[in-house]
Amino acid sequence: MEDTLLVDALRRGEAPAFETLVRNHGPRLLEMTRRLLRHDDDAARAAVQDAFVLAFDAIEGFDGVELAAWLHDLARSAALLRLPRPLAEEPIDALLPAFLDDGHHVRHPHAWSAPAEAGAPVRDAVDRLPDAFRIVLLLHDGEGLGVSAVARALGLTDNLVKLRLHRARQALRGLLEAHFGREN
Amino acid sequence: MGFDVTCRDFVRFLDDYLAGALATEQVAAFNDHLAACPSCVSYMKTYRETIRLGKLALAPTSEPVPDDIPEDLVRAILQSRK
Ligand SMILES: [Zn+2]
Repeated sequence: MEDTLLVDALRRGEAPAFETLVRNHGPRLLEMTRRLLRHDDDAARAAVQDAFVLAFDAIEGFDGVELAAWLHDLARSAALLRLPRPLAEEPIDALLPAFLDDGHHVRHPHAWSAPAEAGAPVRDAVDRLPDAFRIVLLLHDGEGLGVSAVARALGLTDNLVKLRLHRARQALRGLLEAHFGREN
Repeated sequence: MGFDVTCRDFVRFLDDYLAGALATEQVAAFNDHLAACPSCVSYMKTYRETIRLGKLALAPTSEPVPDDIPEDLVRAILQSRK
């Protein structure tokens, strides 16, 4: 069913339309909330449910532009609300590059490259980052939000988001070097 | 004559450097450092590759999504409408 027809049916309160909405959009939303909430499947499911409950209530006011994007935003916000707070911020210094007193690298960074299908190991590596860094990376580099949008979503300053993004990318680089550098 | 850029400086401002957010004279100093420092060249290459891989792996559409959603979750969602 076309999204516009579906939205019309939802506004008329037709029960089958609600089920269609959930079956069409639920799987992708669940995949996203599971990624944000990592190993907490109950929370990921609850976030999807939160999003649909909000959507059912708000469908009257929905401007009809992009149903999938609208639901995605609702589910993402719901998932962020269900993250354990404060976000875990264990030190990741061991994964960051080290420098001598004179500012030089302690050791030469190895060159490495990833195979074409590197999605799974990269996601595994991201999952190993503490939430404070992982979530910023997911929102910025995964979801494509800008620094200010990430800052608003997490209640942080732009500068702190930039700092955490930089640290997250450096830490991920360290994990990927350990993973892919060994295979070459 | 620019200021001295160390490897630590280069890495610290790498996001700004890659985003083109540094002032012209800073860029020149960073370029001078890169020209003389294979370690930072290697670091920058693998850092850029990390960002590329991260964006690919984490994009919302990067994984095929199974058509199904747990049946009890569908029921719970539709129940919560009432
Ligand atoms: Zn250097």
